[in-house]
Amino acid sequence: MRQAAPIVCTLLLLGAGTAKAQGFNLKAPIATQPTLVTGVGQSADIEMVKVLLNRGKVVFKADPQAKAGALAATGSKSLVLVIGGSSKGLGAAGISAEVDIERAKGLVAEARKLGLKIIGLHVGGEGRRGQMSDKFITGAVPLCDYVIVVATGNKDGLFNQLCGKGRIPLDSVEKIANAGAPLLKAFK
Amino acid sequence: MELNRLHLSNRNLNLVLLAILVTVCVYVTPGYLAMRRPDALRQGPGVTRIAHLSDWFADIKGTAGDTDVYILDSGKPGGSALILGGTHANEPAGYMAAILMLENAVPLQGRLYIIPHANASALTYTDPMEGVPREFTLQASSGKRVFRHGSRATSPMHQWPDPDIYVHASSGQQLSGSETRNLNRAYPGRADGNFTERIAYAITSLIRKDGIDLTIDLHEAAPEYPVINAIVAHERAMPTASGAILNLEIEGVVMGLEPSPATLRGLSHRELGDSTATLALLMESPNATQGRLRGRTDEALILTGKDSQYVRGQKLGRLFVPYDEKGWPLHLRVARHVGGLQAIFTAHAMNAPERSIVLGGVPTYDELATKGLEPFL
Amino acid sequence: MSLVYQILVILAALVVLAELLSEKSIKFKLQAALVLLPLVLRALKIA
Repeated sequence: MRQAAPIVCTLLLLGAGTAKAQGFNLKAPIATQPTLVTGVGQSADIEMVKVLLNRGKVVFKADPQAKAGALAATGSKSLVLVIGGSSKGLGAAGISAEVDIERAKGLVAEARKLGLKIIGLHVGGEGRRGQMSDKFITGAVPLCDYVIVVATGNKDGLFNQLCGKGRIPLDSVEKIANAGAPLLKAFK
Repeated sequence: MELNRLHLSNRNLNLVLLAILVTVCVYVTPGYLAMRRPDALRQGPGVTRIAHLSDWFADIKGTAGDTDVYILDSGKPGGSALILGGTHANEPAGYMAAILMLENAVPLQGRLYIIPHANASALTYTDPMEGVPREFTLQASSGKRVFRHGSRATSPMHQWPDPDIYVHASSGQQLSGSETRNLNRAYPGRADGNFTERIAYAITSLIRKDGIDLTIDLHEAAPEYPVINAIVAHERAMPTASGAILNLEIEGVVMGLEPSPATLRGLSHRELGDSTATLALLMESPNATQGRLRGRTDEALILTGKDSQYVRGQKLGRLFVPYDEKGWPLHLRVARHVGGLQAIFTAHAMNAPERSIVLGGVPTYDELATKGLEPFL
Repeated sequence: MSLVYQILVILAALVVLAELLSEKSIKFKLQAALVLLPLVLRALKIA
């Protein structure tokens, strides 16, 4: 937020209105359709992202536990990681947090090999933070090419820190419903 | 104390005690029996037929498990939905939302079925030792309205005694014996099962025979219960539930999403989703009256949800919903359910336009939250 | 409540009633009366 403050002040001075008017930090689309949506932490948030993609008419396949070996066969041209841990979700899947992080890392490595762009989303807000979720956040966010976060999940600036001062474009939205706009803009 | 000190013969004392016993019985009986009189519900402008649950399973006809099924048919093609209120009759926002819908909704597309008191037997008594009021009163626009406040499970008058362990028939899952009378552990039910299983079977039969697209079971939970202010959805209903949550979020209503656990059996969102073609969902709102931390339990607690112990619980970080001095009033809990229902119907219409259910006449979340229930009842 | 259990409750109520009538101590008589109350209400299917 500290980095953003001068920009916001400048915009206000220029009469540009609210911070919303500054647009998104991702300036040009990076990802190609169809995309593969997977969960990192097995939370139900993946369902919300599927709705956003559906409403935006993005062509996608969803597999909460997609594995590296199966990525090429899906024909996906990009990867969407829905980040946030759920002990219930992991329990239902019968896997540990560590196993899921390793799966995600393997999947990302395979995606890189295939030249796919990776978009990370954290839409669970404050409720999807804490010891369990932070493991997935710190593990997955630095691997992304673009990250969208619902603001209440980034009150402590963890995402800014992980995205490394602009190294990875990061966009913050107030509500899950608002995550649709930057997400769709990320697709060509 | 010896008898001679009371200067009464043994015979006379027996007579005195028996007279007291009879007097107490006569005094308390009308209160118990009053709970068996059905609440007077207004037939709303959209109601086209009032059926009985026994129409789908004749075995429960004439029993305390038979209950009214209000059908609101637009006469126009579309989908069908079933709203279940009063699965647990001590969760008033659930059945009040169902009542509010049947008294106000006008179907514009598709068919709506409403069972305001899914477990009618549970509404005929209150739990012993809980000190919960038997009824609550609203000064509604149509006049003074009194609504009963019942219990979580089927009355022991209608199903008793409980076994030590309740074995869910189709899965073999074992639960505490008292769950034998819990309708939301009895699905999909059995035609030859216990009384509660037969009520569940009747509801399942309705869903199957009438091809219900969406079933929404309206509940409440104690503020210290982790699944709260949430929609619980069967996996097939996930796109509808998540779409509804986004629709609600746009309106400023925060609702969580909980996948129906595959291993917890007997619940509506699991069994109705597994054993019928319906999309099964369940909604929860926060209700202090059924919570363990509550203090004084009276009508005001039902209506306002104000409870200093819950405010304390929130400060100690023990709750799963925000809780302050404003409490969680009944009208706000009903607003969440009614807003949730409309959001679910909208999401369903987006996913399956040819199976849309469109309703007019239903107050919005904001209207209910600001004006209360009274203008709409 | 099945007829079998109603009969059992009636039997239990009769046993307690007999105790109430035959007991000499007023304390035990009162105790029996208190036990009898819910049994009567249950046997009559009131509560």
